[in-house]
Amino acid sequence: MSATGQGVDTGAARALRIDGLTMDVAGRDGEVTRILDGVSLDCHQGEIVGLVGESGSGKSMTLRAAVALQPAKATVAGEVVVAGRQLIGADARTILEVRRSLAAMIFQDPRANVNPYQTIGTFVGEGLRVNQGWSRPRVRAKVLQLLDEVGLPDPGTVVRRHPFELSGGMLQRVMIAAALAQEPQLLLADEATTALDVTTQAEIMGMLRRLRAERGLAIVFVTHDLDLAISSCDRIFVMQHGCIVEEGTAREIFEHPRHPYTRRLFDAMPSRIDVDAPAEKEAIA
Amino acid sequence: MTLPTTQTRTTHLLTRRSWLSIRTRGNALTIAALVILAVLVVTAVFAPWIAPYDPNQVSLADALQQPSPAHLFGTDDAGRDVLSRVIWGARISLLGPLGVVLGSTVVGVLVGVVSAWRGGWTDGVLSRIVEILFAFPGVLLAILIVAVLGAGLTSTVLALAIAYIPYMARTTRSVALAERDTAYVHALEVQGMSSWRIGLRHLLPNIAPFVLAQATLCFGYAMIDLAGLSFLGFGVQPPDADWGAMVSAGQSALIQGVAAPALAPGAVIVLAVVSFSLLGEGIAERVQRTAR
Amino acid sequence: MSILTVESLSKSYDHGRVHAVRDVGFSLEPGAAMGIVGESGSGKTTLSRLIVGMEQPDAGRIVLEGTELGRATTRRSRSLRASVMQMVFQDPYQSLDPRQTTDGAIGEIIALHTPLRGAKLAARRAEVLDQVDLPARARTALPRELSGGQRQRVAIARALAASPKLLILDEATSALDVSVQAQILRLLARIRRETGVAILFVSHDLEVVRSVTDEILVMFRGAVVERGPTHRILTRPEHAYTRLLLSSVPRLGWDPEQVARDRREFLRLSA
Repeated sequence: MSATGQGVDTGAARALRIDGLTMDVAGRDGEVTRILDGVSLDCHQGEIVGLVGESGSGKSMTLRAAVALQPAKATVAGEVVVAGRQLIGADARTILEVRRSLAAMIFQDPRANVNPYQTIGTFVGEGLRVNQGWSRPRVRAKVLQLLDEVGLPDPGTVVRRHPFELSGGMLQRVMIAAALAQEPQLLLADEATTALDVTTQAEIMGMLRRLRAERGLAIVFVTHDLDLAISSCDRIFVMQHGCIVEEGTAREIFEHPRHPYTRRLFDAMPSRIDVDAPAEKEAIA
Repeated sequence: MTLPTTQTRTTHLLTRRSWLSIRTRGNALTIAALVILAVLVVTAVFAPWIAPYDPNQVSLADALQQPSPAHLFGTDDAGRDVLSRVIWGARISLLGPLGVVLGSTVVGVLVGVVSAWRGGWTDGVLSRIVEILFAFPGVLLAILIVAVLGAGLTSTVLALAIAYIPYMARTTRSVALAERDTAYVHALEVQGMSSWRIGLRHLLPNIAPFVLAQATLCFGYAMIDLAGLSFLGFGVQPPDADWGAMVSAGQSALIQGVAAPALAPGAVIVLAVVSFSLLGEGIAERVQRTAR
Repeated sequence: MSILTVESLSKSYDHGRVHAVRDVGFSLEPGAAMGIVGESGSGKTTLSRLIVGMEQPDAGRIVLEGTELGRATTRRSRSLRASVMQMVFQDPYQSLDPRQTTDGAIGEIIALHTPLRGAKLAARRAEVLDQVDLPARARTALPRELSGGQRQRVAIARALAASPKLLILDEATSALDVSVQAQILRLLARIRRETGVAILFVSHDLEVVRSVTDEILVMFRGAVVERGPTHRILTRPEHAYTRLLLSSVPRLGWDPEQVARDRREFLRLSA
């Protein structure tokens, strides 16, 4: 039984399977840095998987590899399979198929990822019009339905608004709506709630859990907040320096974190930290 | 196994310690421009030793000769060696724009920084003054000043320095505005540091690269404008040679079929201006790329 | 005598349309630690900027160690403020002059606030940098060669170099990794124990504030909705908004959908 109280059907298909992913990037002076070292994780339909790590852990890079968005100069090895499609070494058509209709990604700063000149309606419906060739009325109906599904009040008014008229939380909901427009099987969220207020974050997490239940969506949620992952994810992978150091259900990680890094991360959480207790000697970061 | 950090090592331009060491790796055009300008500066400085003849030595018997081994650029209508005049002309032709840039930069930067720092009606008043200055073409200003002070290098340099103030002021103001709002400036204000100290010791050094880029571009424009003013007769008076005046004087030779007296200085003007523009663009691009 | 007393402070923008701070008042004793908690739009950042002098209030008073601070931003009032209170900002990547080394920056501040020079200045500088546990290598480095946590240590050292009686931290750990944040919070607790400096910690994160403060002020839309000892606020909150904030903190067995419902209810009631 996962922490969220829902049994995860591990018999369900895996929307994402990453096996032994290794990524090297050549720097300016020719020296090669290994960013990811043998990363393996998976996510089933109807499951929320948390990928937790601090800056430099490689968690964002792992996510990007799932849609072949790694830097151009990176060399990757291993397996990245999205809904049965192999991404490493795939041709342009497969990559496009994955990006358009199998996987969708949302980022930390919604404002940086949206065209400020477009109305919300145009933005959310663009993929459907351009890629699927739907008619305008059909697109409009779908857009209204999506905006309602992500919990935006009064979708009829919101479609006419521009991004600057919406708050960060509302805009992030719009991004999720746009991501869902093409009915993906996999949703990749890269620090999607980090820039939001804590109450807004709670609402977005609630909405993601509902989407997971209603649509059987597979969600990979990248965050630096271990408590957030424990509270909302079914399974958690902890990353450090490009490697997965621990894996387990949310309850397992909460009750007995095994790896020293996980334990350190756990103890450093603001809700748990004791500032007066003498800390073990660690490198001054 | 850390993510590669953004480059930090190549921009000596921005550190206090190695202000002048410009590592220009990567941009061939900028390096070429730098080389050409270095040659011009060296030529100007060592003119007495490089020039084969006395630039003002008149010899009517040798007038209007085509280029030959004895006179690489031929002679002008007074028999003076064109090459020597071009070499000596480098001094005035480079000094003039330097004066313009120094003058306009000092005043323009002051106006721009004060405007950005104080804001409010100080900014309003200064901006209106700058806009009025913008409306004055350099040539018009030159004519006015020459009418009062007489023709010569001083008059034209003064006129252009004033005409260029708004360009420097505008660039400086926009860069200073952005910098003024950064956390470290606020932190220093909270520290109780005086505005003058923050402005001089912290703000200015951090916007200096942008100002330098603009100033370098202005150097090129100043060179053209000064050459133009000399061509019109407002600048240095004969027999002193600056390239613009030489082009003007060389017109009669051109009509008589001897091109070098006008073409040689003209070509050098173009070479110098293009080089300054390339250098200025190169610096501006480096600054953009490395801005925090 | 309290270090800082704020009375009926108000500030609005956009010709009175946006009330950033509404009639806020509190008092801070020497050596005390107070947290100001609120979400975006709560006015907590504006409040800290008013206290530190970066903005001028429309109404109300700020009294620093018994002296009321004048409305004008004169050099005198700025100097007075600077000698008593210092601020550490949120963004470690922007809060240091990129062209100054650590030693240079701290040395300049010491020279600004004290008559120390030469060897005595260097000694005081070393003392301050030791206090924040900054390794020797980082002292001659430029900001871009330092990590986020190290830069914040330098920022704290710069604030402490003036020997202030009050340290104001405006989301000073929000941009840092969790483990680095933990180190900085421990550092702050230690500095408070060692120097007796009073702390005002502004943050959106209740849990972070919990770890370093004795007392908490909760702000919502410019007004203080609840205040009290930290422990009491976190275990027996009285105001509906405080309860909402607390239930929004992620933990095992959480029900975020309930939080969303609570929030809609709260907003409806407060409209």
